[in-house]
Amino acid sequence: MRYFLMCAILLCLGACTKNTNQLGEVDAYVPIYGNVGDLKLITQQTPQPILKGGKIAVIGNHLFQVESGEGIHVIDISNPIIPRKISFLRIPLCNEVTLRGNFLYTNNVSDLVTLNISDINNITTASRIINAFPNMQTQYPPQTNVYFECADINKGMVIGWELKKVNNPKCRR
Amino acid sequence: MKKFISAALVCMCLLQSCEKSADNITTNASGSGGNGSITRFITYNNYLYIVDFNNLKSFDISSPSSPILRKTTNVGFNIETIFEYKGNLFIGSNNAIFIYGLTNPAEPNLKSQFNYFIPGRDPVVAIDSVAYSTTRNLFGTGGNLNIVNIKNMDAPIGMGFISMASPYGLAVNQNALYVCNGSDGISVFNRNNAYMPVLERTFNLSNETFYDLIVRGNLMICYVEAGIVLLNISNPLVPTFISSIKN
Repeated sequence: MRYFLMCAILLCLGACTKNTNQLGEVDAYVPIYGNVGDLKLITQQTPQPILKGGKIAVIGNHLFQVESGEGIHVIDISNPIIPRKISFLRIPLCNEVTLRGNFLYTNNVSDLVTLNISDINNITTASRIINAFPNMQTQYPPQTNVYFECADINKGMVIGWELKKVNNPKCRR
Repeated sequence: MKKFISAALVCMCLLQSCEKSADNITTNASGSGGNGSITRFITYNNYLYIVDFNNLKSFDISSPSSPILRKTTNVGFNIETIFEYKGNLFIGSNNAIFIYGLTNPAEPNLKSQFNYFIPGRDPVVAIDSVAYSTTRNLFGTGGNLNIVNIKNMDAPIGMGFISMASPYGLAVNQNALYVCNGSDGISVFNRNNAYMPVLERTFNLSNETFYDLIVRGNLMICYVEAGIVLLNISNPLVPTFISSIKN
């Protein structure tokens, strides 16, 4: 009898687990795979729209806001009544920013990059440490409480995520 | 029985409120920039500290143009934030908070670790002998503002928590504690009693979702969905709108 009950309970548990896996077709993020080669070019461009605004850091009159996965907005806040975007630093797969004096530290793909910001209109790369954080690549989408298609390292590096309809996505965060 | 319940409650508070970490709310004279509270990168003295998903990396930036990796320390899993306070690093993962000492700034040493009762994500800030942190539930909605006594960094004590809708980044400004609460705006707490913050008011802007903020003198810099909002906090408990950049 005891065994029967245990079996029954186990069966119930099994059934429940299975049911939750059958999501059907739902909204889920799907990895976009890319080539590393062209991802390591950092350029200073004209101001760009803030679409996926990310982490922020400030020094002096300059505010830096990450555009998730794309780069960093450089914003002049010397007059807080009229904050003004000065330029956009294109830094592929950038997600982080911090500052020390005339230098800005960020990630470009999995490299640690130091930028010289002493001339705010001519920001240059001071140094780069290749693959400083190999496991900080985008293994999951920046959004939370979402389903996503698990990244497959055999398909290349994940350079972004797009929202699609996916049948029974296996990953969630 | 009563004793047991009290003990259980205390334990829950301890587990619950010991929490994750983040970063610099202060801007200081040494040339460090101020970060939002949600970050993986911080600078402190001559070091750049970075957390990836598992490790803490110490980079020597005595020569700031060219960081040199001094040490990689394995910390745990699902690490998301780092915060420095009084020469200690608070490292937040989804499941635990780790406090590292910086007696040797190149080689941080583990002082203490706490596991969460309810896993969650997001940062912590610290001031004097109190740390405030937020945990947003990994699944579903809701989260908590946690209050931790850190008089003794080797043995922080949970002081309780306050339920919130969707707490993200946070910052302290004198007797005010600001917590970004997603589309519910910024919750402004009065922390005259540091261990018992009381909700004073909510600053809200329609159609804005607040994620993180930096306090810089009388200026609050907020990162919202697709933009920046600047607030005047010359009266710390009454933030007022100055301007915004959207898109």
